[in-house]
Amino acid sequence: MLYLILILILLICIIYVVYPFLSISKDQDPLLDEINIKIRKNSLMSELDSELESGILSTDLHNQLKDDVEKMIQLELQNLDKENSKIDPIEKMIQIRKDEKSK
Amino acid sequence: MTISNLGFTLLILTMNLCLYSLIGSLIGVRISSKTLLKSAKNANYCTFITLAFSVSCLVYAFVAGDFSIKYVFNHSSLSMDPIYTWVALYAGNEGSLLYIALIISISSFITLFFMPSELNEAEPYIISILSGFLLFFVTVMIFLANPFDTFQNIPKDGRGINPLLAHPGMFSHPPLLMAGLATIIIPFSLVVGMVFTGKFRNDGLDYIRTTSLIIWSILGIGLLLGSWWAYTILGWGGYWVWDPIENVGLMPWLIMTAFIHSIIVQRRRGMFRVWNVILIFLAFVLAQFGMFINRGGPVVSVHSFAASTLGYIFLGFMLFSAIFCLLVFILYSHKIKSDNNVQSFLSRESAFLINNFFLVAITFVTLWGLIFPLISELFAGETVTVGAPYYNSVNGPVILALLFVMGIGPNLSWRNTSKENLISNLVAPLALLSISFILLISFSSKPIISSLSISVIVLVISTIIIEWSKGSYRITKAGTPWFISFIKLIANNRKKYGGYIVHISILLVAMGVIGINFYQIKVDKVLSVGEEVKVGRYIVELIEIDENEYNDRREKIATFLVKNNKNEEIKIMNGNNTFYPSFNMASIRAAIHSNPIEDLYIIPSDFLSNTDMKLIISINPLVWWMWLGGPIFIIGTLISLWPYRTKKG
Amino acid sequence: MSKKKLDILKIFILLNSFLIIFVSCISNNIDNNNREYGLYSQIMCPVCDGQTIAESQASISNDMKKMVNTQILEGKTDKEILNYFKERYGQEIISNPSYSGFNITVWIAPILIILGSLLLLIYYLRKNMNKAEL
Repeated sequence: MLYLILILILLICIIYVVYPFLSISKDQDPLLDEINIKIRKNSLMSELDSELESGILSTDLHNQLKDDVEKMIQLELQNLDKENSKIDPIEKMIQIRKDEKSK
Repeated sequence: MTISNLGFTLLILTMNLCLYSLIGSLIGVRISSKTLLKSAKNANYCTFITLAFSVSCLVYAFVAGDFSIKYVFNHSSLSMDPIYTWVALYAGNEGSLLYIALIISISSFITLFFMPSELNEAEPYIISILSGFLLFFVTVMIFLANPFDTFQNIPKDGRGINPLLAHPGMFSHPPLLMAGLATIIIPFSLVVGMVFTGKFRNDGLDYIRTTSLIIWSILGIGLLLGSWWAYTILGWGGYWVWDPIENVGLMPWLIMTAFIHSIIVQRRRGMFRVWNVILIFLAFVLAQFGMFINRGGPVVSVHSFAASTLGYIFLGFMLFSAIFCLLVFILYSHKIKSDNNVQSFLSRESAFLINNFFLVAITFVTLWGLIFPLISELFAGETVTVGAPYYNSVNGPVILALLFVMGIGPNLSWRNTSKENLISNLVAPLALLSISFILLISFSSKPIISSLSISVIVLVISTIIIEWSKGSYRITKAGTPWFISFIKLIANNRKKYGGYIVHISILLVAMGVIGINFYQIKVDKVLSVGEEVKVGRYIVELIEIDENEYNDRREKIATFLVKNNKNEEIKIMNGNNTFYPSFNMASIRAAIHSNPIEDLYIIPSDFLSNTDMKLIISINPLVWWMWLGGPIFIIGTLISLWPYRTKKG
Repeated sequence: MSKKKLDILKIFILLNSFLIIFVSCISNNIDNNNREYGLYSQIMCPVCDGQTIAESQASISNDMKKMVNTQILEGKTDKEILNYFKERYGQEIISNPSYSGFNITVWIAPILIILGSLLLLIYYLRKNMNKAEL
């Protein structure tokens, strides 16, 4: 009985670990990084806006801090390296083997 | 196959999964293979399954009374209430390691599952660190501390569970504390991952903030629960003695407190990047130091599991962690320098820096006191004790200064605060501080620091009330009533106001500490049955002394009648002194009558005869507030973490 | 008086009431100074882990407490009583390292290091404050 449980667990683990090699992976959106930076900028800006509403910040300080955030984000966007989609070497191997088989 | 075989085999399977995950993620990032990385990540996910089942094996063994397993024999018995199985699981060395491994795998699972895409580049390194950390614990279990070790000859019954552990505090204090310390690996791995990719700018900071807050609050509650348990169950009337084991749990928490504060600055202003890396490294190494002290380190305490070889292993791991952190720092810190600098001493950034400074100072003093006996022995050949009075007198003022900054800090704006703003915000609180200080030192013969402490608390409370009133007042201008405005204020600024609520919980704890430390009344008295003694506002009469004998213990019970000054009955309560022969251990349970003003705490110290006993009676003011701090702390943390619906555009 | 000032006054009164309540809770104990327990908390229990005889319920602690009480009644000073224990049990029985010899480092080192770091911090901040900001 306990052997059964062990084998079941073993199977689940093996399948789960090997699965990525068998399935086709989706490509990563290269623009995702830029989108994430913009989302963060929006969230920081809206935090500043709500603090202005609640009166925690004065208008002057609010504008100053908004400028700071703009500069910070610009710098990040400039520094962002756009990665070219690299071909996964293991996928390449699998593709070559597939091609050989289909010949 | 037996249950113990299954449990152990699953541990070996876990070890292999960790190895694969560790090596796979490192190779995967080297050759840029997304498939290999996904596979390594999945392997880490699987450790959750294998460990969950392994723990289930041990639990089953406890419930079924399988005493062939040494661990089950040592920590349970046939007569043990099954509900204590939960406690027995982590009561001993091997079991607690298994528990910690499970916690690591659960938290790794959650961390990896919810990982935001901004951290994609750092993910391989994060996986490798999480897997490597888990690998260490599983390997230690397999080779040195096997929870599934068995006897050749199966005993008929177990030794039973340590009686001190059979209390609600024990259901939560050790697991929360161990979980809090172990999960420091999460923010640690996130930070290291980002440092490796050279992208520790601002990506992923929200995730780091969230994870850090969660584990910090778990650790904090674990510490407070420990105090509560010590006070209510251990019967010596205190809640903290700066015991080495307490200290090694406290130090990582202090550093994490500094971390969650300076992370705010990094998130908002892009500063303190390198400092944040140093902080998380410190927290991590201190947590490993704690493991070392707890498991066979050079200090003996009520807590230590006292296994010797294991101590060296954990010492080695701590040194390994320290060297790892040092190398990472030396090689990579130049990549992550902040672009911004603090512009003014009167800024919130500056206040956070001071907050950090004080927290690190307290940590340092605590560490220094902890290791000083060893240093003294090495260099001066003399054994000394560094007891609670040292920590109280050196840390006390720094803690007070920290509380003061807690009041002033939120009134400073980012970047720079104009002097007019500052004065208008602080004039009332400072006035109140001065008034209360002058009043108190005029009427009290206690040391000045007690009056000063109360005055500082008055200052902090007043700054919070003023800020909340101003904020709510502005919203009431739109026509909403006060109460709704107040709720709106909190709802619109959850991070900040959640933080304020957490600060309030700290103040509540501080109130309790001040009450019991400075204003306690303590009286020793020998009473015969029928006699009474007046202490503070109460009259305590000893009604009865009983002795009961059970098959696992001998109990001596004293019953008291508590009356107020007008001789009216308040309540009847018991205290006891119990001896457990199989553990060769005595435990004392005090009788406690608690209300928000003070606790009446009666310790049945010595049963002199059938009719006489020695009591230690204390009046502990304001302790009730210290425990109230716990739920408030949790509420504040939850509010602070509550996500907003993401606005688009 | 404007509404705003009225509200601030309400807060002021609220806080003062809080202070009065707080103080009245502890006022009972304001003048209580317990010499016995002051001394107990300076003497370690020799058989317990990290507890002074003030907290420990062990029988040897109770004996030591009686010794302290007897000496108080004999009119000895705090210093004499602590010395008595030091001579019989060694320095480690005292919960605080002495203020002499090597032990003074336990007190001095933290103070020096904290003050030193504070000065360094201020210096470092000053230096960077005038650098061009982002």
